[in-house]
Amino acid sequence: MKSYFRLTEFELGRFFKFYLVLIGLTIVSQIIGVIAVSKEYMQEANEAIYQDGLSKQAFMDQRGLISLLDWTNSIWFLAPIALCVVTLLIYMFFIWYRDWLGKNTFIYRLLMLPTQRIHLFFAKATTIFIMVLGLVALQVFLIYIAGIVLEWMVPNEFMQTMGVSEVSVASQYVNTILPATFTEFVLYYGTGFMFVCIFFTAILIERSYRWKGLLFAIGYVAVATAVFMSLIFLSMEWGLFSLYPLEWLILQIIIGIIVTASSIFLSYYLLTKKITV
Amino acid sequence: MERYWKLMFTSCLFVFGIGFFYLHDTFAEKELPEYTWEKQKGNEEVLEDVLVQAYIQDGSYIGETIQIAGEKRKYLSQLSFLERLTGAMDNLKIKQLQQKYRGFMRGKEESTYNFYEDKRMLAYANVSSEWDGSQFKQSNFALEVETVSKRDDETTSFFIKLPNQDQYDYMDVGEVTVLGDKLYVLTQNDMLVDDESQSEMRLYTIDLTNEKLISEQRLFSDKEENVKGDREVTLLHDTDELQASSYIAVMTRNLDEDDQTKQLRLFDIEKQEEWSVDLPKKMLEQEVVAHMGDETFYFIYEQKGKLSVTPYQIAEQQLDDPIEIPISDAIDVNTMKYTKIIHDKLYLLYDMNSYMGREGNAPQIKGNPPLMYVIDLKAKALRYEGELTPKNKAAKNALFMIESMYENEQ
Repeated sequence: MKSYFRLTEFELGRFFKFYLVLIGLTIVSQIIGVIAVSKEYMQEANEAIYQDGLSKQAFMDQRGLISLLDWTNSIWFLAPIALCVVTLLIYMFFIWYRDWLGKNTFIYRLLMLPTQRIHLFFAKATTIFIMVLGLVALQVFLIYIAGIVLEWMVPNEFMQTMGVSEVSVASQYVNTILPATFTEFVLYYGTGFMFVCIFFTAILIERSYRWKGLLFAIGYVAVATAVFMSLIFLSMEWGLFSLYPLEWLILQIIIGIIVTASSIFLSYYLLTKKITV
Repeated sequence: MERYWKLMFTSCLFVFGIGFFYLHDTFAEKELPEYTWEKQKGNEEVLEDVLVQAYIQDGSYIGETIQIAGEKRKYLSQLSFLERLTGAMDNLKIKQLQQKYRGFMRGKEESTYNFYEDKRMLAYANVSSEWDGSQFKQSNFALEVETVSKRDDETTSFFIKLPNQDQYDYMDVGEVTVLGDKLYVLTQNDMLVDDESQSEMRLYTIDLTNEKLISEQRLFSDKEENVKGDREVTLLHDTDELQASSYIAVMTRNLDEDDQTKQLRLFDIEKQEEWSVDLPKKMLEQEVVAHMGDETFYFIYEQKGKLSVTPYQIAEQQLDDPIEIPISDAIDVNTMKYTKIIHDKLYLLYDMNSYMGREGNAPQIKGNPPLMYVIDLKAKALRYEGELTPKNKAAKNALFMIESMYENEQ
C-alpha cells in the first residue's frame, strides 16, 4: 500500500509543474473572460442607452440580462477546458511511453522495484484520474468566483444572479463535466475511469507484443467498448429485449465493472508475465 | 505526510470542490415556491384524489415543474437521479400498471390509449410498422395484441396483419375496448390522396378466442361526400380512462367558411349504428366532458357568476336538468379550464391568467391564483370551492402555468 502511495506521489510529481501551469492558465483565462464578457455587455448597454437613446428597460428587454451563461458560452471559458482535456488525454499515453522512450529506459528501474508491478498501473491511473477530478473541482470554485466578479463588474439591475448549481443545470457545457446529481457524477467519472483502464491495457498490450501488439491493442479497445455498449446495440438495433430503466442502469453498471476488472486482470498478467523492457 | 503533499493537494482540491458543489444545495441557495389550497367552501378531502401539474417560471433560466395533490408536493428540481430515471412524475396510471403487472407491461407503449382494463383482464393493442426506404413511407402495418387474465395471470399475445395497407400511410391507436370476447381497436389512419392529407378513424374488430381479425370499418373521416370542405373530428374520451363503453363519441366541426356546423356523433359498437345526437345548437357550442364509463356527457357553461353543468344520458338520449353552481364573476366562457371526472365528481380548475382563443395575450407574472370547483355529479352539489394561492416570496414572484390535471393514484 505504501509503495502505491509513493509511486502515485512520484508520478504526480513528474507532471506537477505542467499541471500547475494548466491550473494557472484556466484561472487566468476564465477570470479575464468574465471581466471581458461583462465589459462588452456594459459597453453595448452604454452605446444603446447614451447613443441610440434606448431606455434601460428597452435595452434589457432587447439584449436580455447578463448572467454567468454568457461567460460559460464564451471562448474564454471553453478554451482552457479544451486545453486541459487534450493535454490530459495525451498525457494518458505519455505517462507510460516516457518511461520507455526516455534517455535511460526508466521503466527498467520501475519494473525492478521490490513491489507488485500492478501498483505501477494503479499509480499511473490514479494520477490521471485525480488530476482530472482536481480540474473539475477547480471549475466549481471558478464558477463561484466568477459570480462574485460579475457582481462587481455589472450593476445588479442588468444581472441575472445564478448559483453554481444553477449554472450547471442551465449550461450544457458545464453540465457535461458537472452533472446535476452526485449519482450522475459517480456514473460519468466511473465510466471515465473504466476508459483509462482500457487504454492503459491497450498500451501494455502494445508494449508486450510491439508491432503485432498494436493491432491487438486497437482490437482490445474496440472489443471492450463494444462490450460496454452491448446493451444499447442489442436493444436499439435489434430490439432483443426491453428493460425498465432501473434494470437497465444496474445491468450497465455490472457490465462496466466487468470490463474494468477484466482490463485490470489483463494488465496484471501482462505486467508480470509478458512485459519486456 | 509532507512527502505526499502533491497527492494531498490534489485530493483536497477534489474533495472540497466536489463536496462544495453537491452539498451546496442543502445549505443554501434558492427558496422553493410554495402554494397552498385556500378553501372557500366545502371539504378539502376531495383534493386528495386530484393531481395538478404546473410549470413555474420565475424569470431565471431554469423552470420548475410542480405536482400538487392535496397537501403533498413534488418538485422536479428536488428529484434524485434515480427518481428522474424511473419517471417519478410520469403518467401515474401507467406506473401503477407497471407495478402490478411488471412482466406484462415490459416493453409496452407508455400511453393509456393503448390499454383497456376491467375486472377480468388487462388488454393492450399497438400498431407496428416498418419503414420502407424504397417507397419512402411506413409499410407492413400489423396489430400487436396482448391480454392478461386477472384470474390466472395467463397472457395471450398475437399479431394480426392489417388489410388494405395501400389505403393509409400512417396509423395510431386511439382507443382499445373489450366487449364480450371481442376486442375493438379504434385507430386514426392518415393518408395522402392527391397530395392532400386525409385522416379517418377505423375500427378493427378482433376475435379474442380465435385470435383473428373479424372486420375493418371506416368510421369518421375528415372528408365526407355531402360536406363542402374539410371537417375537424375530435375523439371524445377521457385519456386516463381505461374502461371504455360500447359507444365511440366524436365531435365534428365543418371547416367551411359558410358552414361551421358542429355535431356530436356517436357510434354504437354493439348495434353497429352511427347517429348524430339531437341537441340545440347552443348546447353544442358548450364545452363537453365525456364520461364514457358512465355513458354520459356533461355540457359546461359559465356565465355571469353562474356555472351550469348539463348531463346527457347516451342510452336514454335525453338531457337532464342542469346542475347550477354560483362561481366567481371573474370566470367567463373563455377562461382556460381543465376538467376531470374522478369518482363521480367533476373537477374544474380555472387558470385565471389565460383565455382560450385569444392569442398574443401573454400571461402576467403577478397573476390571479387558479380557482378550483369540485361538483358531486350524483348528489348534484358543490363539494369544494377554493383557490391555489402562493405562500412565499418565491411563489409570489413566479408565473404559475397549469399544464394538466390527473387523477391522483396514490
